[in-house]
Amino acid sequence: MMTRCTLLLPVFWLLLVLLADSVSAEGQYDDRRCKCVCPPRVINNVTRKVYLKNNIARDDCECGKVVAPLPDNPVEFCLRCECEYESRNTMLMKVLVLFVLAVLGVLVVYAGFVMCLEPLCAKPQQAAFPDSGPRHAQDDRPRLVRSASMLGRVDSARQRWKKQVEVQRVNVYDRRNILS
Amino acid sequence: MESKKLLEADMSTPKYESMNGGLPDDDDELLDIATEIATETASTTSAGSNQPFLAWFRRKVDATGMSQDDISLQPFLNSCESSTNILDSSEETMLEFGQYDDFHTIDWVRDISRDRLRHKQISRKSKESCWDLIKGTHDAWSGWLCVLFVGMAAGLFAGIVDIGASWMSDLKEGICPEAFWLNKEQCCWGSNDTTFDDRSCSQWLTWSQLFGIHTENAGTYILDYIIYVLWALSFSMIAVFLVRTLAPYACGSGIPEIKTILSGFIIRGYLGKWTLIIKSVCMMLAVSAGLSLGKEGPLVHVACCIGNFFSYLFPKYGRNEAKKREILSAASAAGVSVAFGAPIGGVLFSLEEVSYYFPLKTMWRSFFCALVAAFILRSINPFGNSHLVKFYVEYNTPWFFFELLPFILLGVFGGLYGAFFNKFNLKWCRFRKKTRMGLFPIAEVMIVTFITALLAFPNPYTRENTSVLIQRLFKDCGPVDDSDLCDYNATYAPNLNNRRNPYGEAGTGVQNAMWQLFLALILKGILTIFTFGMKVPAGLFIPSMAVGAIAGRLIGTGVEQLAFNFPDWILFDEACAGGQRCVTPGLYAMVGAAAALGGVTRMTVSLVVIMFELTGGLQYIIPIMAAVMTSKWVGDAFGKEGIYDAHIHLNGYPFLDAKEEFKHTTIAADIMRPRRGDPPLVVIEQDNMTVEELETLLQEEDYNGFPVVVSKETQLLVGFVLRRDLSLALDEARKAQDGVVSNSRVYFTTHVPGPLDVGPKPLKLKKMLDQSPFTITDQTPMEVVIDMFRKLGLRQCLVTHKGRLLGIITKKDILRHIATLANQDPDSIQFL
Repeated sequence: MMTRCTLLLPVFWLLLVLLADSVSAEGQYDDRRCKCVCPPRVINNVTRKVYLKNNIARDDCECGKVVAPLPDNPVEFCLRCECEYESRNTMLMKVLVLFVLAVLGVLVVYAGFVMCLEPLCAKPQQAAFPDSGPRHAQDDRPRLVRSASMLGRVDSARQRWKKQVEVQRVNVYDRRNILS
Repeated sequence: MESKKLLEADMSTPKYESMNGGLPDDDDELLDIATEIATETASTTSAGSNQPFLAWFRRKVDATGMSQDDISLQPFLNSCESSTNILDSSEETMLEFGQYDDFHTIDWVRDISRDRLRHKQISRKSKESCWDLIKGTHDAWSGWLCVLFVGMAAGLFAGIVDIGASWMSDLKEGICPEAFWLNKEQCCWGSNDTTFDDRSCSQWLTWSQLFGIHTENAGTYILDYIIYVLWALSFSMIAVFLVRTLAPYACGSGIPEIKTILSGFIIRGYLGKWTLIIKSVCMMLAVSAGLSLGKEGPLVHVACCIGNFFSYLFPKYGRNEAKKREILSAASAAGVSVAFGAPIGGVLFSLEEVSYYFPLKTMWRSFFCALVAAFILRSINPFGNSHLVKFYVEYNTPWFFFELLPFILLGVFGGLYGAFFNKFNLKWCRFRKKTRMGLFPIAEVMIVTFITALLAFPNPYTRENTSVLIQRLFKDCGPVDDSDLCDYNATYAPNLNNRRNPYGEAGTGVQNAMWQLFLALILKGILTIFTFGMKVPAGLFIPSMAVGAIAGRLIGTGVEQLAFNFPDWILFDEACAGGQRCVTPGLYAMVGAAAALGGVTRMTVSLVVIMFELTGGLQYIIPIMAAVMTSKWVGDAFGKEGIYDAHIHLNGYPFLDAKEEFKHTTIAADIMRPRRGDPPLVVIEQDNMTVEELETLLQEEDYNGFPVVVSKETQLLVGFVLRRDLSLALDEARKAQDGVVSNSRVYFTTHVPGPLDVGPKPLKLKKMLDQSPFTITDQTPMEVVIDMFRKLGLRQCLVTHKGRLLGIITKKDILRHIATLANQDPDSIQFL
């Protein structure tokens, strides 16, 4: 099936990315942080309320270890702070975004192929089968040549799929009878 | 329109071979089943098209000494009422595998009884061997297994879509050069130079900064503006192009169609694999393009596509349209579950809005499916906030009695907005459908995108992703918030016991935010009308919620200022005495969002549950309930139906709404066909027609089924035969069974004249006869008839008078009748 073929590429890509990434590690974009929200304080002419510390153990997420520099009255200051430990998974985000990009790329290329290249390639074939005529409405079952080979089956499945899309297009864009 | 036609096929609708093939591959298995049935019921079925079956059966008959003419059961079968007889008749139709044509209605009764039969078969077989026992066990739990897969896949898809969409949305503004796959929030997540929550950080670069311009002036603003518009245009262009080229059915919200499909309609390819892929991808693109639309409705469609996909792994569901709908119901629950992070809300949504046939079994499966989907999405943690949605909020401030008044006011607003939106969106969609404008879908999308991007960029509240906007509006101003919305002239006394949220007179920031929000309200409210229905995946939960949330925040801030300035008013006396903070504008935004969404969709229970699952605060149920109820009342006063039902009617889908009641006093004879003066009903005589006659009949008439009678004179009803089965059987007989010629007689009876009779070999077709067609008398009130169609999912019903066949009522007749009585154009109902 064509679907499987198109799906294979991104999966392959995904594997590559996974392999490549298990080696490298990002220092800047850590997956764990401790975020402390404290009363506003002016440090170097900037009012500061939020203090972050990355890559910190959950137990260490407390004001004294996160807020730097600590003011003169650390105990009193820290009592007013609220610290929260948060985690995320940048790795997964990377993989998913790359996966989305890969799928998108494959789809755009394939759509471009269906839209532009294929009509050009198919022309000589059309002449060879004079009965294929306008592929509209009543041509109910596509004349499928049941070839035993894998390629033939893929091709016939694709032809069937193309017919279906054509019907959908007629229904949605031309006749406009569904999906207003 | 010839009124004598029954079950007319919409011949202009092209019918294509089903995506999943016509007849099943395992004829042998079916044959086994059929043979066993034959032994058990001792009915002398003869297979017209199945030579081995016939041979086997003859041997069996010979061995048992049973005569083929044994018709002792026949009178009983004939006299039996349909309900007792379902099983017997459908056992035989089982042989002909029931596939439906595109744009046809399914026959629930037939499908359900087919499944019951299959189940009986499996449970009987499971006692025979160990392997069969395993097969039986697998069959028993396959429903749960299937929804498990569906839930997992739905969670995964939602995770991908969430991450992809939020990343792409931010791409319009800038990029994180060191890790381009992170969106703005995640890019600045670990950066210690963020002093405030929503300022950008040094890692995140806007496009002008990326080009090396680091000063902020008019030039960079314009550059960013242009790049923003260009990104929006390219995203929507890719989306509309992909939809058009690869899967046209992926456009729109999908919920009206899902509703129709779940009520028993076939739209081939609507839940196909390509629709799934294209819809998921284009959903992200459309959201990222900044269009006024959301991904929540399309997620329901995507989940249903997943449900359809997985149901094919389990023949029990994949091959039985009625059973498949149980999986789809569960899938739609999973869709809402991941869209809003509200598993219970999802189940209720499936029950209240989407599903048609919802037995308790399906509810438990939906529950499980929603749970699994939410679990998977939670473990993906797409927003890095340990919650399933972007706009999850957590309040713990109480609300006070006087606030019920503004909440109800918000409900009124929501209802009015819903009525306004529905009316104009429908007008616009009808315009698109009927005029030449609909012929330029790509241009339309591009123009709307261009206008949206152009108007959205200058206003910070429309520039950002709508979910981010909603999150911002829902959130209560905390001690750290530094945005315009939280710019109060607050006097902080940061002592230990008083770490309060800012409360005070509105500063200039709040005043700015108010009019910007007001402009955003108008922009969103109007743009959504033109956006919903375009040929890209587009849901309207998010834009409706945004409109409501903006209105809620405006009113909330207003009430808050009122309470601050006049704390001694009678209204505020109790709660706000002494300058206490008593109003939470974020809560108003949430109530407003629920009200607007309720006004547009007219959902009630599920909406409230979704909203309180979003807030995680049970104490806000009453405000939200009050607002949603008011919004429904007001909305219903101005327009009867929600947007989804309105779109179903606009498209003329054959959807028999179970919510409406039928108040007229018509009877079955009034709407049955043939009408007075029409030619009589086309019927088949049970033993008096030749193959050729039947073939001509099939050629001349395009009905989907024919009643079989004893003879045309008596019009005594024997059964009902489907066109598809009949033509298939005739074809088969012509091909396979030698001896069947044009003037062979066709028998729908058990008694077939023996070989002594002269003439060509007879063709026996009793097995395809549905001997239990639903019948009513001509005096049955329509109310009852409609109830039968709704609750039993009938496709057609035969009308008799004193036991003689008089006419037929189809689902289409009923829909037309309802439309006529409601003063609508009966021809607007298409299909069937």
